[in-house]
Amino acid sequence: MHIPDGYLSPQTGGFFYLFMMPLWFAASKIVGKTLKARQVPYLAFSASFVFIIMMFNVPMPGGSTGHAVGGTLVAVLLGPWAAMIVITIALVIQALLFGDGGITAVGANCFNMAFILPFTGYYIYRLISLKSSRGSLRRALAAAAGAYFGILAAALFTGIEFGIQPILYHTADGKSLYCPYGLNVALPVMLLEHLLLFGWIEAIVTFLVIRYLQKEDPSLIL
Amino acid sequence: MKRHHLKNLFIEHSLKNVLDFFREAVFSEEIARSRGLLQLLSPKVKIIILVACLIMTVFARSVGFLLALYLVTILLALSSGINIIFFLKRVWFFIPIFTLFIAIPAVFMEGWHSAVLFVMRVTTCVSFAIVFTITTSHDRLIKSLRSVGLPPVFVDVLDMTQRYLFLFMKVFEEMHLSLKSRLVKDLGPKRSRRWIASRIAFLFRRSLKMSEDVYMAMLARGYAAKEKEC
Repeated sequence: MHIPDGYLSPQTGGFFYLFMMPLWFAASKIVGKTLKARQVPYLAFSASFVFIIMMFNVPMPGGSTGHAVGGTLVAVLLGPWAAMIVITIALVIQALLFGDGGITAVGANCFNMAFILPFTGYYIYRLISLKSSRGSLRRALAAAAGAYFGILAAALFTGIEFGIQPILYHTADGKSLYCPYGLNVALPVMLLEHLLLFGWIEAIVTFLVIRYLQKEDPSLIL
Repeated sequence: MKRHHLKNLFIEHSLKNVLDFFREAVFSEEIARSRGLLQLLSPKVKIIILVACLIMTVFARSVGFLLALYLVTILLALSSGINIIFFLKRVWFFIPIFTLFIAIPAVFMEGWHSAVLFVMRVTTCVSFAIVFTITTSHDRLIKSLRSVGLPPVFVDVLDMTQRYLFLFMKVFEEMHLSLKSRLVKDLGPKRSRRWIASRIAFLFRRSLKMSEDVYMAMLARGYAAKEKEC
């Protein structure tokens, strides 16, 4: 899901930086209003937590392992605006210090994983859980559904971003300059692997963590 | 014994992630402290040059020009005291190899020029990013973001995240090592997933508790007063 440098045109990368700027600004205003001076340690520790979620290798049926992004889980625990900031922080550290995801693609990666993923996941969670109690099974299932469709939505947008490159940016004789696969290849590849594998990892991890917290401390769930 | 290792593979994979994280951090610090061309530059200047190089690379449309830029990254690595074998390994594993793999079908669909252009562009970008970040102390790199116009609160959060990440990684490693030392047989996928979920939940609660403790410590040292002055 982390788009490296060189996969997207600079125009696409720039567009997503510009698109994310008002969202980051709005998120910092909303989070700053509730947390005030507390926001620096709160966001820093939450970002470390997001980073760590991605380090856990989860065994899957069939013997394979994979890792979750935790976008919906963090949105259910912190709210979608705080989730946007902490996932952005984790993505910037990954890109800048560990080469995971491109520096010119930070805007696009944040759009997919810090905006689309937590917001889709969170609102699906709210829609399904309605007014059920914090400790109910319905809430945990709602969070799992949110996680599954949240990562699927992020994969859909990533596929679109890859797929539009050969259409928009090509040489005079029609040869692609960036990601060489169009929507007919990029979309099915991105969606299938998330429909069949990564979506389930995201859903199972989110469900189990919420179930655990429901027993230990339900007040932590929004 | 062999069976046990094969079955609880998720522990080995997670521990490998931690090992890679610490190795990466230690190598970067070692190279950043050694003598070389890029180590002479301030982190602020390096960030500006890195962004300029990345923009130049993503705008490039000729394989020859990208090849020249790639050679520049190798020269920068050599003049900054980076072991060239280590540098090439670090660059090519994993993104360029993955890109090379996915570019093979593109040779038949789009022609070799598009495929080579794609692989060269990605490899050059990764090389620039690595040669500049590996020669800069992580701590100084984050702090210098303030001087290139990023909001101070954002840089403060990045700085604190970067520092406490090491603590979280240590806790993460200890969790896995303690589980590994207690296991005599396969944990099974269901129990493994439950264990992982419980550890994620534990880390979340711990992160909240620690953020509160650190906030109190910051207040005790006059953090709020400093904010008011600003």
